[in-house]
Amino acid sequence: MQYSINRFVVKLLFFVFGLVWLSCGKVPTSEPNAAVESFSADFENASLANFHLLVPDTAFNTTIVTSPVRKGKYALKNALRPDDFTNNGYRAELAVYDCAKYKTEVYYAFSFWIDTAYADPAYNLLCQWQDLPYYIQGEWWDPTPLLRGSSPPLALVYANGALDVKMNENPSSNQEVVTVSSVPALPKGQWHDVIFHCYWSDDNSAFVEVKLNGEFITPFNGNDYKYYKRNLFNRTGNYFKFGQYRGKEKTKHTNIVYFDELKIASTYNAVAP
Amino acid sequence: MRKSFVFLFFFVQFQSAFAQDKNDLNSTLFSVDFGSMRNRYLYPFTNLRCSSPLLNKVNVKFSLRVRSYGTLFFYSESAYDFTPQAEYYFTRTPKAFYFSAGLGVDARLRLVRDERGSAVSSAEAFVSVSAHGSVRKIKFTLPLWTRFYSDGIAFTLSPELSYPLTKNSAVFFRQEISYLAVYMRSATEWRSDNFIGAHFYF
Repeated sequence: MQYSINRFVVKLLFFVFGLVWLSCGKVPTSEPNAAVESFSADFENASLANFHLLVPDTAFNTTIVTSPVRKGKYALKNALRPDDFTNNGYRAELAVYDCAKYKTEVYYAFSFWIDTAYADPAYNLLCQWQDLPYYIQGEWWDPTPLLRGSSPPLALVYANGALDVKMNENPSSNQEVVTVSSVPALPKGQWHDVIFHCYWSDDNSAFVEVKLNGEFITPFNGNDYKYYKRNLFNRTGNYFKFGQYRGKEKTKHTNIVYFDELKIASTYNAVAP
Repeated sequence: MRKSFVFLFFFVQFQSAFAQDKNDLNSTLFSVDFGSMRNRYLYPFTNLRCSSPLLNKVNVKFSLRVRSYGTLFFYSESAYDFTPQAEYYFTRTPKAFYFSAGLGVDARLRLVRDERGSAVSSAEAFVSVSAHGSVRKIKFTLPLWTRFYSDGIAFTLSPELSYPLTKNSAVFFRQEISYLAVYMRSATEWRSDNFIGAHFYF
């Protein structure tokens, strides 16, 4: 009897050891504080190869021009026609991956110019940080049924001549968007330099701080201009897109916005205009 | 509508074909459940689970759970988890309160890959200890699973309450509360998934 119990225990130990040895995978959670990968695009090489394009017609929507330019000789002309529809929306956007990871502090800077002929009053996202599925916990795009439909966690929105920084904290709704700051009458036909300073997190330690043309536009909180609010729906992080995005609503006119001097880095000095 | 008729057909068959009381230990159990509320957002997934009755000579039963992600209709093109498990029960008949302990493997199958993510297929071993019991008609189980990963560990507590609809079926609600920890980094995460479903005994 004692002998059979011992054999059973030995077999059990081997079995447990085998199971533990089988454990080949990593814990399905994102680790914080990953290194920030710097990114720079001044369009001087006339190439968009470093971007992931969500553009219906690159020959028209995203062209390199020599005027106007913020610095150097070239800039990006982003033109969106009423019927430019791709990837489930009216858009002409350029995306940068892996630049908004969980618990990282990142600076994003770019210059933009609203064309003087820009006419549509409806909303237009000039840049956004879009959420991602929690891949390592089994999620994927477009589940069935589609239970989530929401605005991006953070976006720079041009609407009715105003420039707004908007946030959405509810990943299951697009009705709870908060306007963090608003510049009521943004002049067209001139360059504007915008810098976003973000700390990405799925709790309220997250913040965003925004400068437009050297002045903070996020509200003063008593200590600084950081606006604290959760800006990740999960720990996969977000990805960055800029250009023009109109959702499901087409414009009446062709709208043009120019972009130049896009920089992403871990310090202010690395992105300052 | 057709799916509803098929479901109703099987439901009626289950009711008429079995007269004796069935329970977790003396019968084959088939469960189907659906989850949607994940942490603070909605995401659909489906679980199918089948477990054997206790073996004749030892108080061991086997089970297999298949979880599909991104759907309430089971078929998924993106991800599945296959979870076979063997459990030893410290009783042969259900009592007001009893325990079980088990071993299993959680095989995560990830069928698609996005360069913005790092999901890969893998398999992890786990050990489980569970408390079972009943109060009046309500049955509860409280399993604690400990999963072992190559770089960390995770604990999942899955309280489940079930209420019998008939002699051979019950509805249940289950919450899975997980704590994931990476050994060498200060990376920890709490996760909560919620499920509603039905047990069928036959």
